[in-house]
Amino acid sequence: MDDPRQRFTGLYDRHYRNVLGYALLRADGGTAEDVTSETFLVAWRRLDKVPDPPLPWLLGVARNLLAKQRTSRDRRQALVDRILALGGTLDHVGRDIAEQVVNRENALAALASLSDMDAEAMVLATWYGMPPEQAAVVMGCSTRTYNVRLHRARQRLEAALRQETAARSPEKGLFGRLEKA
Amino acid sequence: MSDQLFSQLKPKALDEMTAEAYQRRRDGDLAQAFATPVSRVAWRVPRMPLFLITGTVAAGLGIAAALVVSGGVQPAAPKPGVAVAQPSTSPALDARSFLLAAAETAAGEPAGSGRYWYTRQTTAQRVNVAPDEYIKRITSLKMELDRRSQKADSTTLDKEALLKELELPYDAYTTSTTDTWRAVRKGDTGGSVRRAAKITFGSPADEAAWKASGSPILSRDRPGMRKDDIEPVLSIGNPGITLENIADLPTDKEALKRRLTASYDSAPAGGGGLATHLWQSAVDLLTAPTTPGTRAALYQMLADQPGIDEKGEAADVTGRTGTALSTTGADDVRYDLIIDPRTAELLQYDVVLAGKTAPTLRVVIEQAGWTDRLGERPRG
Repeated sequence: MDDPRQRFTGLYDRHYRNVLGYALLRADGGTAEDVTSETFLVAWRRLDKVPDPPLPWLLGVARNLLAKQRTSRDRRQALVDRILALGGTLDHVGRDIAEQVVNRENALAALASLSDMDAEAMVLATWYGMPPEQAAVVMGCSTRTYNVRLHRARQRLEAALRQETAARSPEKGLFGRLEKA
Repeated sequence: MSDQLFSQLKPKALDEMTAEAYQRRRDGDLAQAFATPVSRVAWRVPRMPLFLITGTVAAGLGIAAALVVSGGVQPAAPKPGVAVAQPSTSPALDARSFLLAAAETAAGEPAGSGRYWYTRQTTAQRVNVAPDEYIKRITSLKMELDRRSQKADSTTLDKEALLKELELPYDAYTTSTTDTWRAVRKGDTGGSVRRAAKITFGSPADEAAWKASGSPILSRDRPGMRKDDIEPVLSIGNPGITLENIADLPTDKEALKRRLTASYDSAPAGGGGLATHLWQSAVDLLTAPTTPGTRAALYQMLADQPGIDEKGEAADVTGRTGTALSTTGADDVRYDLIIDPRTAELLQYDVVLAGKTAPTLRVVIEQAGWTDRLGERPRG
């Protein structure tokens, strides 16, 4: 790329929201924005070293900056709690892929049972659509370790779902009265 | 199933907050960067190398691990369902011939193009608890814990018990319709319009029980429009497929199956096994802008899959008729599809959990197609 400024601006425009969205899962608004700015500053300084695709690398930098924030301030907030605090409860996403879904409240309860690392593995897989080798870059672990976390998270969520529906009373004509929208 | 479940938990507030901050911080961030020398590490010297080293090492590990995986080493995580052999019956003759016919029909459909891929989908799901009551209770529980200065995090709040306690004693369902425009070009803004959710009841007795309990509000979903320029995830199980490259997917069934199987092999999937992954991938891709050739290959691939039954003609909830197909994964979750034999389009799909007769989830694809303008539906 000829013009580094142009290249950096493109990087910023394409990935700012994703990086900030990730930082917001770990820190409050002001801190998350500062960490995101600093992440891009690191990217600017090392523009030649930013790999392709850049997003996993950017999230990995942000993750390290956030880890630093946490230890210095000791205001650690668990990922799962941040998701709930941000309005995950009974909130609804606009993307239709996200609407292929049931029983949000049960999902939230299942989410609450996940460890932070396992929840993060799910976030990267389902919200960012990241393949394992890229998600492992973000989390600073091996693909194998990442896959173990993802697998554990999926099993827990599925077990929670099964348990919940097994306890349910028999249905009566679930969608019989569903009208044309 | 758990992936779709989890993906909906993404807080809507996140997208709004990031869009707002992006507008506000962009100029300042760019100016700050351009004022910083590239070659030399400037201020905050001690912190910089640390991230860079970590980032680089992590990146290196990732690449190495990816090479190992593609070299044929088994991932550490056991994959439930892989070892569990599906009944090796070949697909029922009817299902197979229907799917092969659908493949021919799909291949003959015109290839479209446009700036936005539009879908209108209606989703129905059961209401488990009244939202206001749940929020009220969870808030007071959290305040109580805070008052006793205990760490009120996700592990100390027993949300599952609360949900069980608050479960509605009657059957109510929420149905909502969303129009979505997904921009193909990077930089274009997509969007979605969500209409107000409708509440329906399983029977008049359920409705009476709801009234007797004070007619609580059963859905807090608000209608609204939102813009969205973050790249949409088309198929969670196949993270490499994007709107930009979906037209390049194989048109040969073996190549397509290899591609989808590679995604499955590179990450631990849910409990349904490879068969369910292929089936779910087919559903994802049939509602996405795949080419006629890829759609034909998808149907041919399904035709070779064991354990798919043809259930005859069926109507979707909007009254459109098609052919019903059904398959059950290794986790006993059943998937039912209705496909229009005239166009090979997917009309509706249901997810039926083990031991249930009625669907837990129903999605109706009312329309899908190309359009050039945000907010406009495709013609025809």
